[in-house]
Amino acid sequence: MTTPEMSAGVAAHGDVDRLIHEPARFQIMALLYVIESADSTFLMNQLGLTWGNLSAHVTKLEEGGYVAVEKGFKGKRPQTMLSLTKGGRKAFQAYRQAMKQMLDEIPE
Amino acid sequence: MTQNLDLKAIERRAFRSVHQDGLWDIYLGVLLLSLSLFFAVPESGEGEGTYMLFALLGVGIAFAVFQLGKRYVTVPRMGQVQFGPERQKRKITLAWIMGFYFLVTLGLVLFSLYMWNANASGLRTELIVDPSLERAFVASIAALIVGTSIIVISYFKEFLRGYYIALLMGCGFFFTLWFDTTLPMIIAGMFILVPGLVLFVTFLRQHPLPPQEASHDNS
Repeated sequence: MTTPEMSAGVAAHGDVDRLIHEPARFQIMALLYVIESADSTFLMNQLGLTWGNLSAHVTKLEEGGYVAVEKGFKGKRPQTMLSLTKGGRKAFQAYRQAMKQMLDEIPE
Repeated sequence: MTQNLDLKAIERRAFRSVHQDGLWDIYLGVLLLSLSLFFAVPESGEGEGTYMLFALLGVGIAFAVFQLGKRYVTVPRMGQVQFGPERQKRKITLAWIMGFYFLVTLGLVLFSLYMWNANASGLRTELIVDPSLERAFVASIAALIVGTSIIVISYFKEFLRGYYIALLMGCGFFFTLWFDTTLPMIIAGMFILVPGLVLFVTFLRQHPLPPQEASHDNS
């Protein structure tokens, strides 16, 4: 049977950002939240994701306006740096808040 | 989830991972081995120039291996990263502290040169009359400067192996100066260099070059 507390928790769950909620995308967002920027090689190594997997998730986050992709060169070598946009930072903070609230509202 | 939300731990892990390629260990190990050549000059002073030349060459090689290794070998495998403003502040603080260390060391070297020259010209300027005590004093000062500077670097860079390296370098300097033999410095250098080489090889095995598209495109 659903208790009122549980209903509140479930309602909060509805507010959780689905774009961030996927585990791999959450990891990408969390890592980019604590650093300034990184290239995809660094993200692959840190998160243990394959290139294809990372690329697919970054594309979704970029389309959602959460991740900025900056292409450039370091010397003669092409370099793509990824960072969170302002919107992405706000969305991640809101996601953390929503998750904390949701977990707090679930009874022991 | 709680573990995943520990953002400080995520940042710390990312920051510390930068030092896992073994290049710092190799650099400091080769540096110590090279510096040992300064203390290998025979009493007669024979071939002093050659020893000095090889020592300086070794220091140059250590620096080149570190810089080129980072640039062309480990960073392309590890990836590029820029850390937040807090890390930048710590970097600047470290630069100031190292500047202070440099000035203190320079001052001590100049002071030692002055004392040697004064003694050579017959003036009684010994601060410590007992030669064995003087040797222990000089060895302690050198070990303290080398050891604490590496500890400070390790603290600011969160380079955990640095504490062990600091201890080895401090002991290397202390016993080399105290016993007037290069062996302690060579042993300490090898104890730093060999684990560094093992780490470097392990790093290369665990981090193959990423696919070409990883550095070209993300879409």
